[in-house]
Amino acid sequence: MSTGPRILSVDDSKTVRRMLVRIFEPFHCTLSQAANGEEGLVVATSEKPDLIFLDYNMPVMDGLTMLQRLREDFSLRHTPVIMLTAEAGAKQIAAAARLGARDYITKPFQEDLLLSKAARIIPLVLRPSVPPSIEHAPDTTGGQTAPPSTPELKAP
Amino acid sequence: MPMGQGQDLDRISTEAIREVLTTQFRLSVVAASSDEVGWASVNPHFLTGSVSLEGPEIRGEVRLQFPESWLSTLNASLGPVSPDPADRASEMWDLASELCNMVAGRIGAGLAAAGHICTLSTPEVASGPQNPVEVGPGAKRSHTHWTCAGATLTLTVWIK
Repeated sequence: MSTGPRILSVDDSKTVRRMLVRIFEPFHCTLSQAANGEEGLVVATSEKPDLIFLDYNMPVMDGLTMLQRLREDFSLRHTPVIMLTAEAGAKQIAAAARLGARDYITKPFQEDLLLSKAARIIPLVLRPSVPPSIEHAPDTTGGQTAPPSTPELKAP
Repeated sequence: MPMGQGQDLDRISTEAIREVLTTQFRLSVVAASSDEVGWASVNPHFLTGSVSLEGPEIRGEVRLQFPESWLSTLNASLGPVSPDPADRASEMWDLASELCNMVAGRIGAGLAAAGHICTLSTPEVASGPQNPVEVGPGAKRSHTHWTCAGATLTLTVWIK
């Protein structure tokens, strides 16, 4: 069982959630999924993720409302959030920034960009290429660990 | 910067579909020949995604049509596919929805750069032939065909 960073993907598109699973699968990350903001709050409350990727336009509860609720929740208010959305408007970016979103990535996105922005918040360590059942396996990551930092919100 | 004639909408549409397919899926896309377009128009096995654009000064729509076989292949490239045919079909519809959402997002950004701010609706997907886009006087329309991985995609955008 992975003990690495916990990531929550909140997006009504299963396609995008599958993309994130594929992108973060090679790293020691546990990825949870939710299809809207309401589900996202439930999962975030129970799993306390280290990073949330959050879509903007979703049914039931949109991303901005979920972000607002996160900031009102004592136990989740400091959870880092990266907006991942097709909305590229300055108004939407500013609204997310006001609610403390760490970053804003517009779709379509480059996988390397997504990983580099995530690596500023959580440590990303490549899984060894040997089976995890082998004890004392040599470290094959080559020290590819990115230190966390606190980036400012930037326009895409 | 004011929006010019329909060529500007063609340019924004072209940049949008190219950016989505190359950046997100690493696929190359080129303008389709008339022969390919003729085949696409009689192929009943396709899905059409649509997103509405709504702003203070404009409204419009983005429609993107895909062959189901092309979507199925692209879906398989995203990772393990469900063994359940109903789930696989659902994944394909979701992929059509997200592709249209991304293209509409880039078109919205292009329109915003031209001074036309708008927001996107939640995408909708339909199967089979759709009613043609009919626009009234004063509207601008872009209708383009694209070849990508052996299939023909059709992108229609209108604004007024």
